[in-house]
Order: sequence, then structure tokens, then C-alpha cells
Amino acid sequence: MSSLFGFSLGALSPWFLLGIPLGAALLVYRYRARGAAPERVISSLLIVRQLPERLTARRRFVPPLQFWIELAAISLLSLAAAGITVASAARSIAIVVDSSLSMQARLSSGARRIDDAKRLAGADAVSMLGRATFSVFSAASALSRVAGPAASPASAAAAVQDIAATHEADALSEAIRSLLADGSFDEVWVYSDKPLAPSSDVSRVRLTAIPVEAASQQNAWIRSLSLAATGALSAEVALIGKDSAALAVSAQCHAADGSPAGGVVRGSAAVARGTPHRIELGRAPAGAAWCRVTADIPSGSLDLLPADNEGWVVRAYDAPPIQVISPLSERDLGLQRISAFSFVQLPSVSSPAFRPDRPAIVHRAPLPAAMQAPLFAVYPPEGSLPWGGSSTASEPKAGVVTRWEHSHPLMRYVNPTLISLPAARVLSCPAGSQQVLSSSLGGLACAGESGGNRYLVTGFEIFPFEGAASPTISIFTLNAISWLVSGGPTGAASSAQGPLSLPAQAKEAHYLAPQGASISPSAPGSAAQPGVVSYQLPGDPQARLSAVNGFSDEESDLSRPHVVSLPASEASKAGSRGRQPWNASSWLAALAVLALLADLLLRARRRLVWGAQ
Amino acid sequence: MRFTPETLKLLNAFAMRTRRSFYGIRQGAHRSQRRGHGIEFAEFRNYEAGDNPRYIDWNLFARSDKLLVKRYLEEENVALYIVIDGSRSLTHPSLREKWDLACHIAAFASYIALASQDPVTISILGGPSSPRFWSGKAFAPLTSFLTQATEAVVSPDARQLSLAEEARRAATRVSFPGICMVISDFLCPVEEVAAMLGSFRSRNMEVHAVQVLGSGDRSLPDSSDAFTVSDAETGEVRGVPLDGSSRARYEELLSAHIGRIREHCLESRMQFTTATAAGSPVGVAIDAIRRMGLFV
Repeated sequence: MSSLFGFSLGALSPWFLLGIPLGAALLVYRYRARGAAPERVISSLLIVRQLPERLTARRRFVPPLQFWIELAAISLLSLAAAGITVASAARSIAIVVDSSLSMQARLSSGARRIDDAKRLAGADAVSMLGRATFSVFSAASALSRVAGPAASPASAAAAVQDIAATHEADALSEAIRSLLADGSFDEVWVYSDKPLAPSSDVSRVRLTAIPVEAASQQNAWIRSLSLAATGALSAEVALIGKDSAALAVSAQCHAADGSPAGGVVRGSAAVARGTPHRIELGRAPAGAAWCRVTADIPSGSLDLLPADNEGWVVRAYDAPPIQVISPLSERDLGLQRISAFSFVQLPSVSSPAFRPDRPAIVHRAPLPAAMQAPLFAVYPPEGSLPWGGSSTASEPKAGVVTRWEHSHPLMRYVNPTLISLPAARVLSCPAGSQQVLSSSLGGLACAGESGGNRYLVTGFEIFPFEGAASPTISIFTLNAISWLVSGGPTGAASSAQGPLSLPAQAKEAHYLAPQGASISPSAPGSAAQPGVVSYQLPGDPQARLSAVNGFSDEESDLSRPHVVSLPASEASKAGSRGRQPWNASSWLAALAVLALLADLLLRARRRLVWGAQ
Repeated sequence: MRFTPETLKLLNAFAMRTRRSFYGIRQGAHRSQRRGHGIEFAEFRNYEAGDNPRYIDWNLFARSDKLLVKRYLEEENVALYIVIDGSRSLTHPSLREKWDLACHIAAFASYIALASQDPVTISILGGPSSPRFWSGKAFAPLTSFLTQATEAVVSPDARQLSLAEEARRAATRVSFPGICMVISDFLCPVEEVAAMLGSFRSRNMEVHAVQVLGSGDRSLPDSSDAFTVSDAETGEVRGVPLDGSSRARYEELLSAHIGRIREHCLESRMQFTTATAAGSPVGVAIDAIRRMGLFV
């Protein structure tokens, strides 16, 4: 490799470059030997001698055009055979700083892990002054570009310092894979508290693991919050680090206008290590629309990750009845056994009584084209789904669940291995949705969100609801209905997790709490920072509230061994697609062919001229 | 060297005609200088002892009381000597068209001569000489001699010849004067041409000079660039301008050279014909045969 004008030139087979001087020497010899002008044998110089002599190129060697064309053809062929490659001289490096929730954990020095990561990343970037260009990314649940592309080391180091920790779980493996597959980077430098899995291919990935003090790791966190319409407030907490500890949970509730409503609601319980525990806090004060809940270890032990000790919960609204469209009656469906929700049965989605702005369960019936509320599609007809994806005809062999998304709320208390399905429709899940259950033939349940409304499609039958007679399916059904209605604008539950996608028609969205939180102008339809968001829906004078939380067992459980896994085969594959130098051989060969054609044309033209003589 | 029946049929229409008489070798179709027992009366001669009395003109004896013997013109064949210039200006492979044309002309002249029982001898200057071919049946051996001679002499390594000297040597081998056809490009000084032709003329032969030129001899290539030429005889290299005026000047000089040779031939009572190789040598050769004045 050699640098020229900011590009690196390389050759796969450099010895072919010898063809250029050799070819040039042969050409010069050939042209000198025969003379640049064509030599012709004539019978006698008797007549020619009487003409004025004209010096020919044989004596002076003035190369004609054809000489240069042939030299160009030889040179281009040699360059093509040598496999000339062109690449930018400066290496292109992606700096990825893990900004997930766990990076807010404190070290013994008092600094947070993310501060350490930013310091190391900045120092590494500056050390590459003049030798690399950088792109800086912040990686949490999604990868977001902070600086670059082609940022200088100094500006990259400065941009790294602007990365803020989030309350999101990370998806670092996917982020690195996407960067490797992007093909724009020579290397990916990752700064995270999670090490690389031993089997990972590290040929283009350099992961700097922030040292964590495993021995002293202790953390208590809130797993979920619930504030029912009745005012019943509960919190599910968990603990690591100690065998057990008494956790104190307190909640300060507020009215919809933000004014405090009543005093602090408290509760406590002894929580065993690694075992989630639900603490009932009693009833929230009357008029409380939302509460800020905190969980502490009162013994004064150090909590490494205070960020996950805080949660926000919104009182559930009086939920409207869920619309049910099914060829079966409500009794046949067993809905009367579900007392926590109210249902209203409608003949079809085209019925005038059908409200697309209210949650609906569509069972074995055509789905509505557009919804403004959560939708639960059970055993949809064969064909395309409104959100993308499709469902196939009934497959008798698809009923064996082979994979499931254990951490999804739908799967809480569900043991998928107990699910027995005589037949199912195999689903091709819509883009962006999550395949919650799947068989060897494909998806069985897809959960996602479209336009701020959750949807769930199951390719298998969950009705009739039989309660305890078939507990696995019944729990799954209850989870599904709870999950769906909690994500809609009419949210009945209030323990929303992760970034909140606001309904498309939501207006005047803003944070009620905490102070200073605001919805990013770059993503007006979503709110990622934990807090309480207020927004207005058209035709509804009452402001809607939604809570945003960053609850993540993956992040809060610091004792859990997390690794960034880059399967060797996949990383190698990505590497092979990586930023390869541009191989100019094919272009050079094409130019050489053109030069040879021009040479042939010149020869043919000369032959024609001589033939005519 | 093969000829089609159509070509030979064309040649059958020709017959060799000499402008003067020669002493022949055998009975033939040409008036001979020899007096004898032909059909056409030539002269009376006084009877001498030993003459056959049957040739005495008894009627004249009765009128004049003199014993006179009748003499008649003999009709004999005429030897045809074909001399082909074997120098490199014809035998160089690049100039092969000239050699092929020369061989065709020689072969066609031989065919016509052999058809009237005239003996033919082909001599290649600087190369082999053929035996004397006598009759029409000898045409096949003659063409095969030409083929073998072509293989022998057409070479870029042929030695340089002095045409005048080679012609002199060839002329010394002539035993019976007759027709001499000299085929060459005559692209040498007129003095050398004169010396070459004079060698045969001095042997009391009727000389017919046939100039064979190639297409490249007639004019220079039409190009705006210069090109390099090398002399087939000497290997000397020279740069040649190819502009229009130079090309015109070349053609003018060539015409002047040919004119001087023609003038010399006229003065020396020799026939001179020019043939330029272009396309098939058969047609050009037949045309040259027709224009020579030797064959009618």
C-alpha cells in the first residue's frame, strides 16, 4: 500500500507491475527496430533516390500515436493483472459508546461507567490524530449517530463527551453487526461494560470493557409499577448483591395538573436476592393521576445504579369495553369468565357500531384496514396482514412451539412448552414486530406497534377461554389483553416500559415530570426519557397521561453475566462485506480492451490504405 | 503452376511470328535462312559437281544452255530463349507478384512456341537454366521447371546480382540464335539495361524486352506521413516523403526512366513492352503477350 492524494493504492499481485517497464522496453525496441513509420521493400531506390530524402522516425524515434496506444494498453493490462486497489488512506473507525442503563452504574471511584467509557474513547480517538476518521455512535436500544461520518479525532473526542446515558436496554450485538455489515468502517471500537463473548470474531472489532467491580455489586430496582383505576398501587422490585434486604418503596402522587395529591404512600418488604417481590403500597390518594415511585435500601448500603430505583406510573382510565368480532358468541368464546375486562360483541369490523379508536379482538374474521387503538387478531384469515406480513393457510404441523421470547410481557407466567396446538396458521411477522412465539415453520404470534397502537396476531386458537382448565393458554390470553390495552391511548394499566410511541394524532405532548424533561424535537412521536407524558387526542377534552419507564432486568441485574456476542461466522461474513478497497482491475481491463480496439482500428485503417495502393 | 483449359484455349489462338529469319534446328513453321528443298522458290545456282541432277531446271537448260539448279527456302523452327531477371528486385518475397507475372509471361510464351514445335530454353539470371524443350508435350516439364526455379530463387536471402554480367554469361550459352525474350523490371540504370540487352543482341538474336513492374513500383502510397523504404537489391534504407508533389515527381521520374529504356530499344531495333502486376497474373500476362508483337 502506498498513499497518494489521500488514497491508498495497493496491488494484489504486484509482480505484474513489472509488465509496464518490460512492455515499454519491448515496444521501444520494436518501434526502433522497424522504425515508427512503416518500412517497405521496394524493387530499387533508383527512382526514390532522386526524391528529397525525409528523415523517418526510425532514426529520431519519435513515437507515433500507435506507440502510445499500445503502451497504454500494456500498462493498463499490467495494472489490471496486478489487481490495483484504491482505498482511502485514513482508516475509518466507528466509536460506539454503550449508553444503556447499566452504564449509569457507579464505580468505586464515584464515576459512572459511561464516564469511564467516554474518557477512554476520547483518549483513543485523539491518539489516532491524522491516521483515522471517526464516526461516533451512542448505542442503547437503538444506534444513534453522534458525530461523523469522517469526523476528525478531536471532534470525535469532543462528540463522545456529549453522549448521555439512557434508561434503555442495550442491543449492542445487533448494533455492532449492523456497523460491520454497513461496509463503511475499517474498525469498530466499542466501549461497554459487557465483554466480548469468547467465541466472537474480533478481527474488526475492538471492545474496551469498562472494569466492573463484581464483588461489590449491589442494586435494587423497580421491575414494574401498577396504579389501577381503583387507586391500588403496587410495585414489583428486585435485589442483587445481598442475600436479602428490606426494601422501602415510597410513592408521591400528583393530580393531572401536576399538583401533589395527598401525602407519600409507603411500603416495605424483605426481598430475597434474585427473587422479584411485589409490594402493595395501598391506595393512592383520591385525585391522584400519576405517581413517582422510588425504591431504596434503607440500610444505607451502596446502590450502584440509582437510576433504576425510580419509576413513574399513571392511573388507569376507566377502560371502555373491548370490541370482539368473532363468528362465535360471547359464551362460546368464554369471555364471561374474564371479569377484569368488559367486552362488547360486534358482527364485523364493517358494522356501524365498530369503533376503530377502541381496542378490539378480531377472532377468525377479516381485520380492519386501519386502527387507532390496540388490536388483537386471533387466527386471522389467510392472506396479508394490515401491518405488513401475512398468514398462511392452516398448518397441522405448525402447532409445536419451538422458540419464544421469554422476556416479553406476553410470556409472563407462560410456559410455552405446555402449549399444545392442533393446528395453526404460520405468520410472516410484519417488519418491526417481535416474533413472540414461533414454530419450526415460522411465527405463531407477532407483537408490535403501529401508529402508537399495539397489536398482537396469533396464528393459533386461544378461544374458548377456559380459565384454570387450560391455564397456559388462559394466562397467555390474559397477558395479551392486558398488554394490548395498556399500550393504547385508553390505557388501563400504567406500567409502560421503554420508549413511548405517542398516537399519531396526539397533540401538545409534553412531560409533566420530571422537571426539565422534554420530548426530543428530532423524534416528536416518541418519548424515551422516564417520566410522565401528557398529550391531547382530537375530540377528547381530557388530557391523556402516559408513563415512560426504563425498567429492564437485563440492565439492572448487574450480577448477570452479559456478553456481546458476535458469532465468528457472522462477523467474518460481515467483514467480508466490510469496507473493502475498491478493486480497479475490471475498469483497467476494460480500458485496456478499448486501447487494444483503437490499436486494431489504426492497424486496419493503415492496412486498408496500403491495400488501396 | 497450373493453367485452366480456358487459359490454354486462349493461348492456342496465338502463333509466334519472327521479324527476320534464322537458321533453325529442325523443320518448322518459320522461314529459314537456309536454302534447300522447301516449297517456296528462292534462287537458281550454277550446277556443281555433286548436285543431285533431279534439281536441274531442264527447261531453263533448253532455253539458255546452262545447267542451273533450283533452290528453295527452307522452313525451320526458331529457338526461343526466355531470360528472366533473377535478381532480388523480382525474387524478394515482398515483391512476389512481379515474379509470378514474369513466370506467367514466360510460361505462356513457351506454350505458344512449343505448340509450333519451336524449341524453348528458359534461363534465370543468377539461377538455374532449363534444358531445351522441344515440343508441346514438354509444356508440363517446363512449368514444373518454373515451379522449382521459383522455390529456388524466391528468397529474401538471394544474392545480389550484376545483371549485365549474368546476361553476358547467359548469352554465351546460346548455340542457335533465335528469339530472346528478356523479362525484368529494368529498374536499374539505363546503361546496365543496355548492356544486358546488348549481350543478347550481339548474339544476333531478336530481342524482346518485357518490363514487369509491381503495383508498388508504379506509384508511392497515398499518405500524409513519411515512410521508410528499403532497396530489395542492396538493403539500403531511405525515408520517403509521401506528399502529393513527391508522388507526382516519382511517377514522372519513373515514366522518364521507362521512356529512356524504350528509346534505347527502338534505337537498337528491340521490342519493348511493359506489364504491371495487378490482380490475377493470367490476364496481365496474356495482355502482355498480345502487346509484345511477337505473337499474333
